[in-house]
Amino acid sequence: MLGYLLRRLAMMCLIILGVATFTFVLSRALPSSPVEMMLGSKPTADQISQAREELGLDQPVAEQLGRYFFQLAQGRFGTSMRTGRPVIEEIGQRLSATAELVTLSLFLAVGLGLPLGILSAAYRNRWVDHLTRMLAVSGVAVPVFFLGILLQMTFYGGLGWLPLQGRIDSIVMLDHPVQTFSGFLLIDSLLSGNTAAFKNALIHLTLPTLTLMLASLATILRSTRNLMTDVLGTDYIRTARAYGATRRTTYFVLALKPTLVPLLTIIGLTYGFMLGGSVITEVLFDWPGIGAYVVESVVTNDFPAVLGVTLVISTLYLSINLAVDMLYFVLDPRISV
Amino acid sequence: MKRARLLSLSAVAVLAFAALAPAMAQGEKPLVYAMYADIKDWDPSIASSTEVIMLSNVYEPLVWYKSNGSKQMFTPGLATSWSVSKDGKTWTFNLRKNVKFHDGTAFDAAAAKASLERTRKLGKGSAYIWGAVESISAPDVNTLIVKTKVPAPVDLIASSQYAAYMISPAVMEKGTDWFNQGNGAGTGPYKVRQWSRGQEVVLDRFDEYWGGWKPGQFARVSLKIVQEAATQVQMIRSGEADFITLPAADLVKTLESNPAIAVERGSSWKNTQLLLNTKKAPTDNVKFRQALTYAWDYATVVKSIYEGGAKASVGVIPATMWGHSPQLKMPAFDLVKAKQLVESSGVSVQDRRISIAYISTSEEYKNSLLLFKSNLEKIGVQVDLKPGPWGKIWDDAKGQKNATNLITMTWWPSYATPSDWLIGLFRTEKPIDFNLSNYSNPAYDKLINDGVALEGVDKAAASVKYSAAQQLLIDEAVAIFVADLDGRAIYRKDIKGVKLNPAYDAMLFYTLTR
Repeated sequence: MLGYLLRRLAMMCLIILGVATFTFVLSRALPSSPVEMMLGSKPTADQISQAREELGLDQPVAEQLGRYFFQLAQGRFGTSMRTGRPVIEEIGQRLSATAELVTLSLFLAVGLGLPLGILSAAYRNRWVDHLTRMLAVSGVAVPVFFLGILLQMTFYGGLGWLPLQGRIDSIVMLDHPVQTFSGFLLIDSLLSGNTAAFKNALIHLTLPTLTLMLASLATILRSTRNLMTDVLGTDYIRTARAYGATRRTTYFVLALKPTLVPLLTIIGLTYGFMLGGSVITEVLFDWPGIGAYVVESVVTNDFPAVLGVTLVISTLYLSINLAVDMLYFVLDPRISV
Repeated sequence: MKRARLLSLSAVAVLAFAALAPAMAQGEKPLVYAMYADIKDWDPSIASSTEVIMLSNVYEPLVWYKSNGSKQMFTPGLATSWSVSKDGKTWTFNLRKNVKFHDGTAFDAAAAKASLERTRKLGKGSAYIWGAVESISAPDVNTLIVKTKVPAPVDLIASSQYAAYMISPAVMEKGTDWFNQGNGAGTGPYKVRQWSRGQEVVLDRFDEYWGGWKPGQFARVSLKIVQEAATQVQMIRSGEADFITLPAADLVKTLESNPAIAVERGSSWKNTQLLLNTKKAPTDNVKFRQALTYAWDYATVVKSIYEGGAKASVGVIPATMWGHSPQLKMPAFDLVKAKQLVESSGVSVQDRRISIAYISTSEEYKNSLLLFKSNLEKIGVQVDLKPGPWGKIWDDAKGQKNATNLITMTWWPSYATPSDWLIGLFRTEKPIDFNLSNYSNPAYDKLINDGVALEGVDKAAASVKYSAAQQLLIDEAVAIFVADLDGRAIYRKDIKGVKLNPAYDAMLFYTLTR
């Protein structure tokens, strides 16, 4: 077990190193000069050559790469050219915003998708099944940007119930400042007993969470349904039913358990994907998260930021997968190394 | 049973949100201005981009250019009056008394001197506008003297939207990093209250502002960062935003039909031109270049592609800038004449091929160049269009090897002077920075240098020089002068006092009421 974990960790390091090298070389090979973007509207020739020198862009790529790895080894990700702030600081702040949004969406997607999937399998080819499947398919079929705008138009434009964009109103933050513990506004405002900020953060979270949730709900719902259908057709379930197991025990205990291992993989992958893939939702709702950040960085060729985000996201993705694989051992004692 | 519970749960959730919703509307409504990018440089000595919306409300220059719709060229800012010596090299500014910075420090000549010297010493952003300055001195508390090496229009330079703001000496010591935490201390009507990175900047009224406060002016202004045009549109429709900045021309038309929304169009000093590389074949041939200027369909581009958001250029100095000359002899769209010029140019048939670089994200560039291409093909000139990001096409254009024959350019001046175009784009330059035509003509250079020396003392005489210089550019077909772009403000109709000022890419909130 420990050996397996160490092997996986070593593998992870190799992959991350590869990703870093690839992205770095790509960022230098791309036909664009980021310095011009960084210096404002009309830089002079002197300002440009000075900036290139400061950034070491006049050195050979191999040397630049070496220097970058040396920096990384010291835990430094460099400075964003667009904002002039340390990349790691910016990612830290923005990652918590994304994590709050994505985690909440995933909880909702699992909380809804799992029971609906089971229901769908239990009433296979009946109206409940058709309804949930329709819901699921339309969740995937409708593009996220359209879904988001539709929700904005309904709940902001039409009903006026929910705010359009942003994470919290600055005015609320001015009157009720929130102390940072976890970076999750909901948790932090609760911990400091700040109900005004909590309410405001919650209403701001609703629409983006819903948008992101609906997009991933289908994956979880459909997988649950298909896995359950397979299991429900097996002999041991029929036997259990024959012995008088109630429907509830059959579906939620006996049949659910064997579906959990593959389902966990799907949930883990979805979570990792959402962390890096919430770009559209974030831009649409001006959510100050990592997705919107990386888009702005790519557009201005702010490569220290792009590299930083790539490394952080790939590390997270790999870690989530590793954690999921570790969970298998807990869920299914038959699996061993 | 299960289903019923689920339904009731969601009903409870919806009700809960409905109950929370009224919490959104409360208190005196601040002015909300939706901008599309966050403030990057908070240091007023360095910032030279979209920061001007914050800078011009938090800081003040010595002199404003035509503030608040004034007909006079200058409006006193932190200087109440000023004069220039006969030789045009010594400028004396009398400074406003009883002015305080946001941190409580008094504004005086020493602070003004320190502000300008700091900007010059840092040498970042637009600091080069002070290039002609020799020395700055403060003989007494309310007098500032600026001496220049050569005659220079220091009054115009002091009214720049960048690199000309007065900063509290007490905070200067704290350095650029302190500013970039979202801090500042100017003398302007608004002070920075809070900055939520990537989300919002809150400005609060500075109670001790020297101009005083009247009822109806805004006590609080929120600069919200909203990146999506569709989101900005929804915000102004609902009244959440009072100003929006993003929408494209087609969306603006729809917004104008909304009775609650007003669209103000006015002059901007932005204009667009195509620079013709005078050192690269076949555009090194004057007649061939002239042919290109006759093959550009000026009227159609302005009318159909800029959809009324621009006017045809006459010369490179826009119509709303002093020094503009309406009597310049401009080429007109005439394919027959263009064809004659191509035939008589001596460029062989197989060499009649040009490349054009443009910024790929601009629909206006793309569409007008496609039109240009089809017109040129009619007269036997082949065109390769090369779209790309600005950083790349600019970099390529600066080196002769990868340069294209033509490149698009949109230019605006650093301060209110016509010489900014004439120097920045066309005066002999080594190495090449923005003179992407690679134009070098001693006669032209002399006209410009003479004009600059006259700017501070005799603008009419300077204009005559600039007029002659522009005719040279037109006759030698150094560029195709495409369009002067309109400025635009989209705002809620209940906001009063909206005026566009081409010198500042901003809105002065002090002049507004609801």
